[in-house]
Amino acid sequence: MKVGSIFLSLFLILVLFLSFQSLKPKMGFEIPKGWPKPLYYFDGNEYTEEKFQLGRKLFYDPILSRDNTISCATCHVSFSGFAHTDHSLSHGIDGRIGRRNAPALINMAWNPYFNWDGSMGNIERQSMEPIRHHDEMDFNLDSAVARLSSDKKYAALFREVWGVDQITVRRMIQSLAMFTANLVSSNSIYDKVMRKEAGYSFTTQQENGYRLFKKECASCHKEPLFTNYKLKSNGLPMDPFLKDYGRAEFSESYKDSFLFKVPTLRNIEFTFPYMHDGRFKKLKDVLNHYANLDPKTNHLSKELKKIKKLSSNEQKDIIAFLYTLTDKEFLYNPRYQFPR
Amino acid sequence: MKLLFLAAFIVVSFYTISQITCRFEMNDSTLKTGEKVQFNNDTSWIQIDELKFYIQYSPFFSDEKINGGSVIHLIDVNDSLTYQLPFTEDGAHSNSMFQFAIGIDSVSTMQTQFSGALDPSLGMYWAWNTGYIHLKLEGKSNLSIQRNNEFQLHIGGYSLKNNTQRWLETKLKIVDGKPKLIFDLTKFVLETVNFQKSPMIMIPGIEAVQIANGFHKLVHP
Repeated sequence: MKVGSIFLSLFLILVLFLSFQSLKPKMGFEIPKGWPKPLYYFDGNEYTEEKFQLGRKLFYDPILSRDNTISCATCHVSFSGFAHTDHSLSHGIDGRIGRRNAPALINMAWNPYFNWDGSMGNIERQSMEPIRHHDEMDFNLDSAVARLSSDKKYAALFREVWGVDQITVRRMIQSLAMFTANLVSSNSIYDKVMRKEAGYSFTTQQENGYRLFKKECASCHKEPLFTNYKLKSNGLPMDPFLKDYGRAEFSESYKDSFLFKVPTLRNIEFTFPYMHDGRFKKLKDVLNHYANLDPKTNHLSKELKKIKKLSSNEQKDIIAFLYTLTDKEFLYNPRYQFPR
Repeated sequence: MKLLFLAAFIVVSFYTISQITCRFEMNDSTLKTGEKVQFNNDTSWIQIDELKFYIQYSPFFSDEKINGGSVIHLIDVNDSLTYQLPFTEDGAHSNSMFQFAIGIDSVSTMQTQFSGALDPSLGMYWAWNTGYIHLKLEGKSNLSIQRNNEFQLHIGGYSLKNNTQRWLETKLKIVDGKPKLIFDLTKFVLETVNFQKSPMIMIPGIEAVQIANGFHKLVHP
């Protein structure tokens, strides 16, 4: 009886311990207070620091491009929210130019889909796109895996992280996803004001900009992620050179013409140039576009048909607010930079 | 009379430098961004929208030829505040020649602290393995078949064979007693840049090196 009680107690302790472990947040990834649950929660790809570091190394290594010249970081620079500051279109090997602006990689774990047209629905598989894309890294996945396998350092790293000798496409993309899913930006002035942290408050202009923003912009750029992740047509005339029909190119459906993903506005100060084709260099150009939008524009999303024509001063106030979304702790975080 | 000449010679040839100011010219007039320029009777035209480049030089302005320099300054044609080259010390100078580099040396590239002129948010940073864009020239030309007739020359690279930093020497022009560093784009865009064949250069490599080899045409010898 006594022995039975001891076993029972030990069993209960074990059950409690395991329950507690499952309730603990995954190490290295924390949901900022008040934020919704992310869509990617590392199921089947458990967080380890070693895996994060492997993903980080892969992200910065041109080894994944056909001619060893282009890495993910070529177009996704940490200092600009992992966008490509001052570059309207993405760059690839042999100096090739893509058709779209390299999007910022911020709070990726909350993204239901990726690419400007939302054509990819999984953060792990998303990393295969630029590797295979003719105008980006122009490689194939088997060759990428073979190259990694023949590299002694990578062979050892994958063995250490995954516990097996074989490098596979799945392990490669899950390692990359471990890095990109952990790029969380939640320490801007806006966040600190919202959290009522001591010493942080909006100026009168920022406060006014925030009020206008909530009224005129937040239906698409929803707090706290500053996007609703929907596909919208924002009334930009099609660039006759790029001939980009947006989501319709993927879905082959006319009703999807000129639909592009609503981007996050976090760190917008540094993610210029703006829009899917990087046509606007300055935020004032973007605000000016919306201020002069013709509600009769073909395919225009319904939210924009009733947008108020903001005055010049109102636009400036909104821009002042948008600058409060800059998170320098994120932009200059050494943990996200090239592993020297 | 001899004394007068001697005094005039000293005034003209020996002055104190406190600041050098840059000036930009093209086709015998001041460079204006966003405006089309035609050369001679040619039907082709060029419009410069953006010109940004790093200049590296010694903080101590002196007569001695110094092949190196710790000052890295980013010049932006669209921002006249960047036209003044800062020096940490004023120096007596007697021959108006000025040595400087267009671009950043490899050590500064690799050891960058990502601050000041080297802050990546200034739009000149590529990546760890390619470093900084040394010179960025963007605009339009009817010779370019790219979107909206655009050309984008992002010239950079710091590894040995792809290095695009170039050391130059030029004679400063003295205007109202103040030294001016004149950059004249005419020869550079007419003789070095091929708007038809290579309107887009975005990576280090042979095309970027060829452009860098023409940097000397930006200044008068």
